[in-house]
Amino acid sequence: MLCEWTDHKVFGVKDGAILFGVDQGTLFFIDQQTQDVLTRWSRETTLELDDVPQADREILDDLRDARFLAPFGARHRLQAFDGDIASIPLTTMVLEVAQDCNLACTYCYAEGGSYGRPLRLLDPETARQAVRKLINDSGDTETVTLVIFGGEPLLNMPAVEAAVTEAQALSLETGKKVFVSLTTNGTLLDQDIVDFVHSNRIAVAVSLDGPADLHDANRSDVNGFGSYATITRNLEGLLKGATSAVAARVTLKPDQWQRIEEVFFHLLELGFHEVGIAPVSPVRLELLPDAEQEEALLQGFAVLSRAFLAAARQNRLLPFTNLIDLLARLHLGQTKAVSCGAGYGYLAVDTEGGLFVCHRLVGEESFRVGTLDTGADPAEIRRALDEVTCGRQEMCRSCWARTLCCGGCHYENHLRENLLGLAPGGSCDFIRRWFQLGIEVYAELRRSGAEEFLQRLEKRVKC
Amino acid sequence: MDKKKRIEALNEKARAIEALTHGEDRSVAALDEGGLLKMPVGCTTIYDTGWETNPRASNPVGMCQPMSHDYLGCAGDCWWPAQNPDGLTNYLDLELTCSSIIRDWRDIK
Amino acid sequence: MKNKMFIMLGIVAISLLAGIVQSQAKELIFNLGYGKVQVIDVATDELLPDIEIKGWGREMDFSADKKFLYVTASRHMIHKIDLQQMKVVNTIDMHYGGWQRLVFGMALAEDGKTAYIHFFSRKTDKGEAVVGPPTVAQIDLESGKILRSIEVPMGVASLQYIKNTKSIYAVGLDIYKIDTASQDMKITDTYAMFDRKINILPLFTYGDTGGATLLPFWIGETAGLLSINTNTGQISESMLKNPMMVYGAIYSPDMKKAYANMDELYVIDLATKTITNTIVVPSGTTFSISTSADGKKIYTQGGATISIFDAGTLKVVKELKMSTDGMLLRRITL
Repeated sequence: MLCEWTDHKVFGVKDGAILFGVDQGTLFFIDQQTQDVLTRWSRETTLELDDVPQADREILDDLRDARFLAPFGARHRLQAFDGDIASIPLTTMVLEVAQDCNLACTYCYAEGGSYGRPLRLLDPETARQAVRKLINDSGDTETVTLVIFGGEPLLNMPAVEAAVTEAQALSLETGKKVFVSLTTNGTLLDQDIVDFVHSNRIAVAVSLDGPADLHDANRSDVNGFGSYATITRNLEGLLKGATSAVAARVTLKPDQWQRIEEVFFHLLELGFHEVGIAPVSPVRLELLPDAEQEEALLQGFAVLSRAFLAAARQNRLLPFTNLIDLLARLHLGQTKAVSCGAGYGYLAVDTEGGLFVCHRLVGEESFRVGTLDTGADPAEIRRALDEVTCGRQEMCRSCWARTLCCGGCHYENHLRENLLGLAPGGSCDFIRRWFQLGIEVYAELRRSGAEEFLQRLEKRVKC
Repeated sequence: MDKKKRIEALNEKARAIEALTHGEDRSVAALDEGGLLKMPVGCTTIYDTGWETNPRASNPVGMCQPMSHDYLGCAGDCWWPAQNPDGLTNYLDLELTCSSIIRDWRDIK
Repeated sequence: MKNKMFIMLGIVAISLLAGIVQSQAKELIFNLGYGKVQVIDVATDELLPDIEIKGWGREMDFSADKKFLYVTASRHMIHKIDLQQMKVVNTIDMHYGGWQRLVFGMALAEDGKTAYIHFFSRKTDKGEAVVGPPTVAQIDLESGKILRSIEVPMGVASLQYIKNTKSIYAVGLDIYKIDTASQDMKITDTYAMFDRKINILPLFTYGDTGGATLLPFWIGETAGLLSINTNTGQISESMLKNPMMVYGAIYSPDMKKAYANMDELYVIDLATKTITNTIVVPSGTTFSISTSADGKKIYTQGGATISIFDAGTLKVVKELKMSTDGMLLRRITL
């Protein structure tokens, strides 16, 4: 039988190798002998199995069973999604309740929370309208997500309350579950707001970047006063009696990347249930990292990954969000036909009721796809996404990580390529190394027999 | 040499593929690409639950409607999500007591 | 086609010689049921007397000379029905010699004496279950004797006989082409489906219309039709522009359209590969589908109801309440 190789990537580990099936999302462990045979025969793209000597044939048959070899012409290759956008139900709506902020963070992509427009607040009635749209357009989806975002959303509590109340009323009426999350800088959390958050089971993400010196260097108010002291004071109330997860959302600049471990454990000590770390978007060229800084970021993540493994051995889940999300996807073998949900069931609404494909692209006129009144136009979504995805599939064709990454964040790509004029692919190397780290951690977990632990991980993602 | 030692499935997707190779179908769900339109694979060339798990939301969700339409069709030799007579081994003369489920269902012992 | 013409001319000639005036061809649709086969006269849409059979019917195939209909029942019997007398004249049971053979797939050979069947087999030996490999075999239709056989991959559920190449297409995870012309049967080619995620339900096959048979499939996020030319063996695929979930599909007599069915009845324009009309079948889910020879009526079967549609408007023109649930509809013009 004439066969051809399916796309795969080999990662050497100490007693063999991990074999990743690119289009299937599969992970296998192979021994040295299998790796040798694979290397020897995969120099050619096609191979006549019947002509292979018996010794190798058995191994190649195993590899064929594992779908690393397919009958010639029958290879399955994951294609980018090209279906009917209109048929996709709306599952997540992000409300920019305040395009305004009481802080002046040095790296803010929303340009002081205003997204480049005069300061505005979302009208409570528009907030209710957005929630109604989310429910009405959600088709058969049982659980939808409402994200309350800004600017600083707590500057506009009337709209926040309107949205949450409307969501609850509609949830009762339709039987759909509405998951509400709130991203805040944490400076305005008074007891009333904390009570509101607790009683409505709102998941809160607080932007806190680490120890006081580091955080305050990033996140100060317009007068230059740091916000760390205020936030940590407010945090106590929020964590006490929390009914939903409270996460730290960390943004770090390249010169802070060598402090990742310190930042992570500092935030855990503060009592956060989970910590997610984002390298800053290069909104200005000086925020672009150099090679050494990028290496520090990866090393930081690697240190946390080792800590994660050590905790897992004691059956503890170290709440490092970035890694948990990646491991869960690797565990299930999820592959992606789109890089994210932006425009595909995920929309953001600005303070005037304008619809954008995602919250990070609010205010970028070319990503405006409709209004709450008219709805999102599928043709406009296609056009907007084409602006950042056109040609990318070709570019990613030979990349082994393409089914995990699928082109990356639209906003990052837009920023780097369209606004800063950088060549595409600047962050590819980092992304690949991060995925490789995740794959190695996963293989170690699986091979050390952490079945129960992985099931817990799986549950987290599925719910 | 034992196959398991040479190549070992790690993640769920790999285990599903391995299981399929061994003629099992329990984990076919893991092979679902999780596409934007989630469709099951089954009762078809890979023999598992439900071609008839159609995307329509009406009750009974995703089954033949009325479900009696599927009852005898699957009684003999196929899969059905309820207790029904197995026509290959235990209830070889099913048609003698029941040839139209809506009319004859009371006669099934 | 040529062969058919000769047969038709032959029948007409014999009829004339016998002095019988055959005013028009008799067009019948057979509904394969439980303990019986029910027959619809297409001219009147009335039922003819039932044909009693033992077991539950699963597959059927007409002999090339149109004298007999062979029906598999309870997955182990094959009934021979005389189409003049409209009754079973012979039954063979594939459970013999200590083995139980469960038949999933039958296609008559052209010789009129043998058929190809696919079966799974089992027996108990000293209290232990023994399972034989999935097998395609050529059998003698009078005795059930296995003349020759070949092991096939797991998963086959229907067979199609290809006239010009004298081969059998076994439809399972993939389509296995089995050469029958040589002494030993052998798989000469495999048409890949599984690795391409082509998902076919091979239980509902309707024989051929104009020398081709259709198998609907689901792939990725849409539907397609796989067509097998039963003369040449050529396989072609059409991806449809609209999704549909169906059990079966059949060509319209003019081969320009296809009809497909499950909860809905679909009309597909084959040139543009689009669904041009669809209706939810009022009586519920349907298994099987057929048309009248003139293409004006469509018959669907679900449970004990056969719905007859006007092919142009998809309006139900008649609902037949059958005395048996069904599995398969097949049409013949005698």
